[in-house]
Amino acid sequence: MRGVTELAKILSLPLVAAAATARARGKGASLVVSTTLAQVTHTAQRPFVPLALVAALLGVVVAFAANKTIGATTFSGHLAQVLAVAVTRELTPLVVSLVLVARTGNQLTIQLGLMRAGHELDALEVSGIDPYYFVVLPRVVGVTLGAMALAVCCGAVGMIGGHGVARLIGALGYTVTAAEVFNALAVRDLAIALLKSGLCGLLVASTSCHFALTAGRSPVGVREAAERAALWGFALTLVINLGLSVYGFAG
Amino acid sequence: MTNEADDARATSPVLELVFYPTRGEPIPLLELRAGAAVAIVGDASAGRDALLRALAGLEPPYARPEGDERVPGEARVLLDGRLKRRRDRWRSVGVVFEQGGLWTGRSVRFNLELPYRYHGRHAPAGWRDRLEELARELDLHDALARRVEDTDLSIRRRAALARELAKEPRVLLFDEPQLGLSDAERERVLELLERRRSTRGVAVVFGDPDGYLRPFKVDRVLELADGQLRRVAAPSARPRRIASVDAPLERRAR
Repeated sequence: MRGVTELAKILSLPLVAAAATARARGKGASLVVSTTLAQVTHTAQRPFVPLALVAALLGVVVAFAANKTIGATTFSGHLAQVLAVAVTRELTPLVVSLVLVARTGNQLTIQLGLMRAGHELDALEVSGIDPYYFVVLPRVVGVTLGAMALAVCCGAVGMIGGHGVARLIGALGYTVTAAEVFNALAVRDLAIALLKSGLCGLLVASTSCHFALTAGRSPVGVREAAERAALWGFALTLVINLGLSVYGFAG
Repeated sequence: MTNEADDARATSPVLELVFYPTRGEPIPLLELRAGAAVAIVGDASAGRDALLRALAGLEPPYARPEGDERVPGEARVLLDGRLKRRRDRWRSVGVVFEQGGLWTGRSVRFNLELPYRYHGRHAPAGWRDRLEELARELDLHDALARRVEDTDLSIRRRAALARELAKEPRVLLFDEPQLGLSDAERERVLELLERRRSTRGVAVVFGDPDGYLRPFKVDRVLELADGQLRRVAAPSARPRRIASVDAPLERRAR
């Protein structure tokens, strides 16, 4: 029962932030926008290089595995599609989600938890500033946009990198062309990838903010909140990835 | 406004903690008039933190009259005799938290100006001049460009005080006025507050865990022990219980 309550609170947090935004009537909009952009940068820019390398590696592995399995069969025409779907729609959003939980979500929980413990959020409230508008909203929107940007960029790197390396090495008779790979990427697959990463970003940020804002005002409270946020974040992102993968393969 | 209205305003409480029983007349638990200085003595865990947060409007008050523990009803905090929404209270009530409550990762100046820049045209007129004056009075000028995490507790608390006083609040809640300040800084801060009380009628509530302020600077002392709020009329007088304050407020609110 407690889990259901927590889930309801996590899912309703973006709505609470939206309501607070409506009440704020544009006050401090420039500050909120700059915080949002900073959060997008923090979410997408800094982990981009290591994630892009992982995506490229995944691309190479998928290209070789698919080539070895179906390259010499009558299904060889689907090689490019396998690469596009596996890397862009499935693996990259999953890796992005895991990185979001482990890095961004953790950092958010600790940051907001310490702000709560240090009465920074109380000081905002006393100044007539709603923390749900001024603190939560930029983080939720920033992480969501950052996750989508990260998934698109890493997906592209994964596809290009995987295909490029496979072509360069030329092992196992890999003969798929770049045009075939890009033509194999359907708009629907791209949309699912964006939806996966966007939803995961939204849920990771909401989970982290929820647990941070209800944490005890002590280092122990912050640590417990970070632990709970990580567990919930992992569970929710896995559910989202699994659900949208099933939808993607069923379509 | 007429003189009579001015007089009525001066004598009526600025901040009140009132218990509203389900049936019967409201029971005032705590009244604070313009220019008053009250010290609430007791540990944070005894309910001091909860009471200050309730007076600041951050959480609903869980307080009831002494001896009426079973009477159904609820306590409310009134400002100028009215229940005000949190976003309408910000200019009337200032709070200096234990650690200052400044936003880390930003400069001290950013923190000082944040509420006023946020509210834009709704911010009280002349806030910039007042902030400059307060920064000078509280010796903050050298620290304005520094990031909050690079400052010590003394600067953070003085900066928080400057930010709150620039609002020209009617009530200032100051938790642990002795914390982080040197003797000289503490004297300077208390003198500044004394001037604000006498010249502008700011009512000040101190959260005073050790009873540091008891011998001087305040005209009323309220003792909190085990969630019981007692009024101390004079140091030699026997404390009289006036209310129970639920200590684990934070846990309940969550």
